[in-house]
Amino acid sequence: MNDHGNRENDDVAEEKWTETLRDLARDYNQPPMIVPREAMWAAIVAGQRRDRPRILQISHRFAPLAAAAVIVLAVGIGIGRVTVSRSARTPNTTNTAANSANSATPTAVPEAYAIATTQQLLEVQALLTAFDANNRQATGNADATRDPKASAKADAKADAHLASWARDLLSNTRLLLDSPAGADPHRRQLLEDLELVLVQIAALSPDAAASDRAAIAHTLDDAQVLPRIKAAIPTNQNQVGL
Amino acid sequence: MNDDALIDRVLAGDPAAQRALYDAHVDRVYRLAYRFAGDADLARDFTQDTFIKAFASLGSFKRRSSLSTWLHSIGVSVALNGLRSVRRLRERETTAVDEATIGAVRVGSEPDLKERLARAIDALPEGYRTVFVMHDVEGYTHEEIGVVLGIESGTSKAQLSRARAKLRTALADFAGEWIA
Repeated sequence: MNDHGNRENDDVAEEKWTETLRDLARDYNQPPMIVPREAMWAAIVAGQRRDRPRILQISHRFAPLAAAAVIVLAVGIGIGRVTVSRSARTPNTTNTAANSANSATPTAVPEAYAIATTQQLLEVQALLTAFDANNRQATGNADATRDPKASAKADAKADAHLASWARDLLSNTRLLLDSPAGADPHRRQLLEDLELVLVQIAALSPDAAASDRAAIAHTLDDAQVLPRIKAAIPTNQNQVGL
Repeated sequence: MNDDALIDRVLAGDPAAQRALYDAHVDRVYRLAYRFAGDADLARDFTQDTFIKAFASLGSFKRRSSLSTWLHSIGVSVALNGLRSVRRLRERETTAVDEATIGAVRVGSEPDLKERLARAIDALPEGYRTVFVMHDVEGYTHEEIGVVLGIESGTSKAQLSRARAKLRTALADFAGEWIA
């Protein structure tokens, strides 16, 4: 057979291979006949609602703190790992390399997360203090003889800032709840209570009624949130590598 | 109603138009997401994210391509990014497993040809796999793939050819079954 004939045979074989491949590949990750349209639509509508408030801008006053919340959580875990790793090696400097490697054991992870939790608690404490101050000022504005329109506008702006800040802290709180930090029952209870309060603050709309703020203040008092946060934060900040 | 009119209504805040746009395109977006993911939950997540992103950025859609192509660009991007995240997570979880065995063809268990083909497709480099799935599995043209992936149609053809060659090599011991 000449070259031309060989090439024709090759082309036929190639075509046949491609055809067979495409036939077989139709079964690859075969989608189901029924598309879960309604379930996906419900999730899309919910997702759009959830994403909408994220358009709110964080004020210059709160922006550094809110951004720091995210960074601090990540850095806190990193610092925690380093701190724990160092402290584990310190008592016996004659450890072998193998022992040093063992210092990065799984027990280091919960401690690192505990440090990250402390960082988070400090951030939440700052937010709740700001909320408290804002709430008192709003109550004072309502009683004072200042221009009520200007006061309402200032309150709405502050509420929007607090809500945005709370949303950032909320995601970190949930991350911690899903992490080894949430394994400790006491810490978990505190984080769950914080989650509840943060959800309430995050839901504050710019035109929130005084009763909304009062309800949050009531939750804070009722669950003794701020005193519990203070109790959970180690007194010696050096322990957390600050 | 044509795409332009539908987009205008969505941008005007008409929820019924949003739903109409979704109904018109969801099946194909979901289908492609499923082909990439091979998992119902992931396909759902990818499809949902695609439409959430699409509705959020519809105002920036320049209407130079069709709405379907634009949606598919978002869908492919969401699916590929999502799969990269899933792969990273799984790699972390399976550090004990030899990387070379992940997605590779396992001769020992001798699965049938379709199963071997599925594993070989999974093991293709991302670019080859994307083009192969879109063209040979879902029937997109090279021109459509080019627009969706932001590549030349010639690049799509070249990647498909390389994907097929790799699959042929991976399935060499089954050659008799299709050449016979």
